[in-house]
Amino acid sequence: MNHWEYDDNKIEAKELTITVSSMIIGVGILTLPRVLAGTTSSSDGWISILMAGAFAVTIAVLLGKFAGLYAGGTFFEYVRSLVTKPVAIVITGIMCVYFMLFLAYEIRAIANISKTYLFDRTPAEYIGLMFLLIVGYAASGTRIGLLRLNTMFFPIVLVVTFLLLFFSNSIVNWADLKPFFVTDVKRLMVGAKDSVFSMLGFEVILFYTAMMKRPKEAPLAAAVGVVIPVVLYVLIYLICIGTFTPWALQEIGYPAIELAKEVKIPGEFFERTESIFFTIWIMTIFNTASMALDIAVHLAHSIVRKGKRIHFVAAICPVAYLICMLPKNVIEFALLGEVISYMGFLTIGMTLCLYGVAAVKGMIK
Amino acid sequence: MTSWRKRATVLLFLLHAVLLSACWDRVEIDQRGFVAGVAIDKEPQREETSQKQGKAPEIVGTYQMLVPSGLRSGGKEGGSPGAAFFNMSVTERSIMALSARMAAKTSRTPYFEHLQVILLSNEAVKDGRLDFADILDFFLRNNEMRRDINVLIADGDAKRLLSVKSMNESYPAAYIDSAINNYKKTCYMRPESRIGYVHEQILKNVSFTIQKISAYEDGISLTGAALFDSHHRFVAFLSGSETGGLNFLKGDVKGGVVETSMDDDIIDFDIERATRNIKARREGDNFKFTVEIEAEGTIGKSIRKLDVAKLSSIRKMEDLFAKEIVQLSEKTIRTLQKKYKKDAIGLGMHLYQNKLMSWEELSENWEDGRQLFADATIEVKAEVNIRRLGNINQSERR
Amino acid sequence: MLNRMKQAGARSRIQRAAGREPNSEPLPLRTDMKSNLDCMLAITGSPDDLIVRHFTIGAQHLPVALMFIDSLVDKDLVQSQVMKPLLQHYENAKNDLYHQAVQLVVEEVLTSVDVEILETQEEVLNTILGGDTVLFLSGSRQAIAIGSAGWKSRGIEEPLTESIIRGSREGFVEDLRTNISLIRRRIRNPELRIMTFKVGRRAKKTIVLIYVEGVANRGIVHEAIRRIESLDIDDIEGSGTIEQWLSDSFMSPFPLIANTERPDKVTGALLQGRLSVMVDGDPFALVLPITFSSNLQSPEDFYQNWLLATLTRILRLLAAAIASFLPALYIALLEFHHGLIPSKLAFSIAGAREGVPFPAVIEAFIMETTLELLREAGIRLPKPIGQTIGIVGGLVIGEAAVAAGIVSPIMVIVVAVTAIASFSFPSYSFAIALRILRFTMMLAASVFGLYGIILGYIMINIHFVNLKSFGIPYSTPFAPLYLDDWKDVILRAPVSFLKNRPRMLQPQDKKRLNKK
Repeated sequence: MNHWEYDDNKIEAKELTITVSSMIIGVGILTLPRVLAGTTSSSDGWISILMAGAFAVTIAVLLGKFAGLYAGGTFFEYVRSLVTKPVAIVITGIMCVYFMLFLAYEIRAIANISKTYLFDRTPAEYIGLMFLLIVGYAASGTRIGLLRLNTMFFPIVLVVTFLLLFFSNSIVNWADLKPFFVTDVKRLMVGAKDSVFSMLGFEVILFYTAMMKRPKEAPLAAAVGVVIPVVLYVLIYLICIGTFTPWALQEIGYPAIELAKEVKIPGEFFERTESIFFTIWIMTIFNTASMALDIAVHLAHSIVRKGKRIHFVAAICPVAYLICMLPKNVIEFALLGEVISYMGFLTIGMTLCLYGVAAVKGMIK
Repeated sequence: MTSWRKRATVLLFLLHAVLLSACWDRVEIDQRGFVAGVAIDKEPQREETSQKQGKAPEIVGTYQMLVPSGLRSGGKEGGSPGAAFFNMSVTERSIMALSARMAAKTSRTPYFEHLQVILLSNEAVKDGRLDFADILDFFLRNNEMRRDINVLIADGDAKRLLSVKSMNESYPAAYIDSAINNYKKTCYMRPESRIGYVHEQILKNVSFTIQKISAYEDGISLTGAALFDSHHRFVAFLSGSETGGLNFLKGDVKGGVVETSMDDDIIDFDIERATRNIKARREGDNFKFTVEIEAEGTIGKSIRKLDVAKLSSIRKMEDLFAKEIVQLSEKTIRTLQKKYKKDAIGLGMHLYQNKLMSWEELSENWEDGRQLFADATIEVKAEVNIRRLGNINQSERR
Repeated sequence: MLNRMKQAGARSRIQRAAGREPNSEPLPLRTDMKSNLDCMLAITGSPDDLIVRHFTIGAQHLPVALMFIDSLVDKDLVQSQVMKPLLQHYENAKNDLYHQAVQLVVEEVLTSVDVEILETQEEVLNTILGGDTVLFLSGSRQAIAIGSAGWKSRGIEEPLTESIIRGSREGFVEDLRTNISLIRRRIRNPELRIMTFKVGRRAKKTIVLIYVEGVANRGIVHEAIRRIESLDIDDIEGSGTIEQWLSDSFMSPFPLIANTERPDKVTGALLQGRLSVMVDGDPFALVLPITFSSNLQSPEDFYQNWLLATLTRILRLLAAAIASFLPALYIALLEFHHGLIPSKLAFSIAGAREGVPFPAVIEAFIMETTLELLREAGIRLPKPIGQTIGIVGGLVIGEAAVAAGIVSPIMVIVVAVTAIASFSFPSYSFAIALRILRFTMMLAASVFGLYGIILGYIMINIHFVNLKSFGIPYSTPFAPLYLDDWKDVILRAPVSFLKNRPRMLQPQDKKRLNKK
């Protein structure tokens, strides 16, 4: 049917910023303060976060520029024009697997945390399954619709998080942040590496720049999109240190949620706000997961031309589910997280190499 | 729709029906056994047998379970509320076993999400074989609890305190819980010791204090404090005045009364807030601290025939009050330094935070090892500012 | 009004009635007046109310005949505007009328303003069925149509379903002419376009599409015309039927086209860049396209101070949240997450629920269903009883249920607050959508508690972002993000700030104020 279409179904720069931020803000922040408290002393983790942030911003800008080169077509087509087809298939395939693992990670994380904080006896499998079904429903709609979901949920998540930080003022003991600058550089670097793991997600620039009205604005938009989570991470980290002291922080499983448990909202109406906080947080994790699925499907679809999008959604979902149920306990799950993070580095590395190839081939104007 | 799609849809609906039929976590709210307070005592009788066997002594856990129908606010007329609570005791070897055993005894599963107080008897905590951190582990790890639960050390039998009668509150745990917040009115009790705070202190390996609760006439009294060392072993109880001094030294005073005498008569100072500032100097292994306390408030009671509107009288009173605060603090310092040799004031942490001492030194030598705390020089200076005089000037004239 | 005759669709129906293939060439009138008249009578089956009045005019006694349908015509008009001038004018005429008869009659005699010359049988039948009169002149291939419609219709009253405190109290009626007059009075602008369509095979109804040229986006206009023209059904029963045919999606419970009885709502929308569709015989006008944000707006917002309007809109948003989520929250909190309830309240609720046999889920469903029944009953009952049943019935039944121990008092409060919240919307279709949502949320909450509610909320949002109303995404201006439009969504900025029309409608003329 040739209805008149209102819009060109493209996103603008600020929507790309929101997309990148939504993707990065996910499960990482819930555990990051504990990890940092373990590697750095006192409150110096914020330095690590900033270092990781600077690194992430640089990479994001580079990726944004690279993505601008094929704004009209797909990633796979462009890579194929740079290198031979089999290599392109391998590269795209690795990316597809990476995003699928990302999706599995997010689902399992939701299942774990929900089981701990929201439920008692409900099996984690069902929690995860429900989540996966909703993510699948989202991915089977339009791609632009998925990005609009980011725009709709992001403000809510931000507001709730800032409210949380604002109200925690009464329980923070600022003196606990002292002493400053006591950690040596080596441990700071280790902390930075852990932080970068929590910032992975900006690779989505590679795939969503193609949907922008003005792809030239991608690098800046992506940079802003990385900065927002960095700021948020620093704030949450500092407040966690101030509330729990660095020693206790190392021992708390999910500090961000425990912070919500501690917070006293004046009026004493809500006592245990962590359920609400986590419930809202599910929204941003949903965004991350749905984008991961969308990209995985998109990549697979661009390699294998046949079939419709919904077929790929139906194919990838069960695989992701099986993968996510593989780790037997939280420790194995953390291992999965490490694998994914290293894979993330691999994908970034590959893309930068491709950028280099494009430069060599004179494709950059 | 094609036929396979139809079949797939039907299958999906069936699957959903199966999934939805089991709502695992649905529990009726009136099926919950709300536990409002927990008391842990040491089981005295089988002491010798377990000592001989070298096992840890048994603990008696008492849960205060609420009866909601007795608590109903503004219910139907004609129904008199029955007892609002009942206490149930069980003896076991560990806290987890306590919970399990309790669940078998009551009609409703114990539910801890509204737990308000945990009372530990000092007998239970003093015993070296029962680790304090161990006891608290259950309460910290279980997701149902919050880090907000108040922990108190009971002088003597903790169980008894869960049965105190109160006119205003429906159940003893509520009575205790609201009394805990009264540190804003007196400086002789410690501010609330949440379990989260206790957890942090244990992990920091510093000495700390917890609110003390004891039976007093028909009710309870919360004056004093329980002192724990940096290995979270119970040391002793501090008296009310020692606790007062400690509060001043830590800057935890949020209210209360300082009483002293002037011209053979008693004057009272109503404190609104007090802050403290620590200045520390280190020369090798010698530490010199100056704690500057600044208090503000109103005159509570003046002596007769004193014209408080004159600046000179005010100054005089301020000096007397300041002297009293210094005396109180110095008494506490003596007790902590000489008698117990435990730094509950937080001076060690101050050194670490201001980079005068490294973490290792603090954990090894401050209280243990070379006991640097016991040899430190601590000077207290106090300044009192009387801001308001109350409603009247003199109660009688010359 | 006589423009109505000029649409192609009319022809096919009449042709079919005449036993011919539709869309074949129209039959012209013959010169023999009697055969023309016989044809008409044969096609219509000579109903009783089809009146033929023969008379002669002029000195030569030219036979003429008037044909009209009794029940549709204003007989006074016919008598005074047609017969009287004809008879009087030609009383003393002496000239030959035959050859220029029709022309002369039209130009010099008839005093009616609505006059047209007809040439085919279809046109004649259409005219008569539309309530106008046809004048046949013997020996002429043409007939004259004279406007004379006059049937009884309801007077203009305040709309029942949409009363507001301040603003005009006029509402649409069933007669399309009156409705159009209400609109024309408010928008006296030459650029106002009213396009007429006749839709329906067996029962032809007139539909008008109204928009302001130069403001409304051309693409939307063309799309709307395309959709209306593609309608091929027997009968349009009312504007509700058209609404469903014109909507983008029938799967969504949310209204994609708004309906209203108020002219000021329609004109406000037209000037924003929207279109309106009205059906003859139905007082509800359609406004399209509609996004989610329109459900929160009411014309009253613009008649009041911006602060008050903003607070009212926030209240409406809150009401929307309450109406959809409160019972679900109640279930989730009471069944799954007891820790979230403040301690004292938790104990009080637990105490109150001691004697209640049903779990909170069943209780909630029972009470909600009862309330829905009460609501439906309240509409059907005669006015005085209907009002009482609604309020008193709810409370009394609730009290009795509590006393009997079937439900707990908290449930009654929850249900009452939900009901009140759901009545506070200016848009009835939106309230219906929320009712559906509420039950879905209750289901989700009863399975997974808070998690279920949040998943349900996510699902609703997914639905929103994929939904389009005439090409505009339903979740505009939240996504795509048009911050400019936010001045009139929840916040209603002071009038001096409302400079532009909503960007989401992509109007041709963006500025509202300060056009210099």
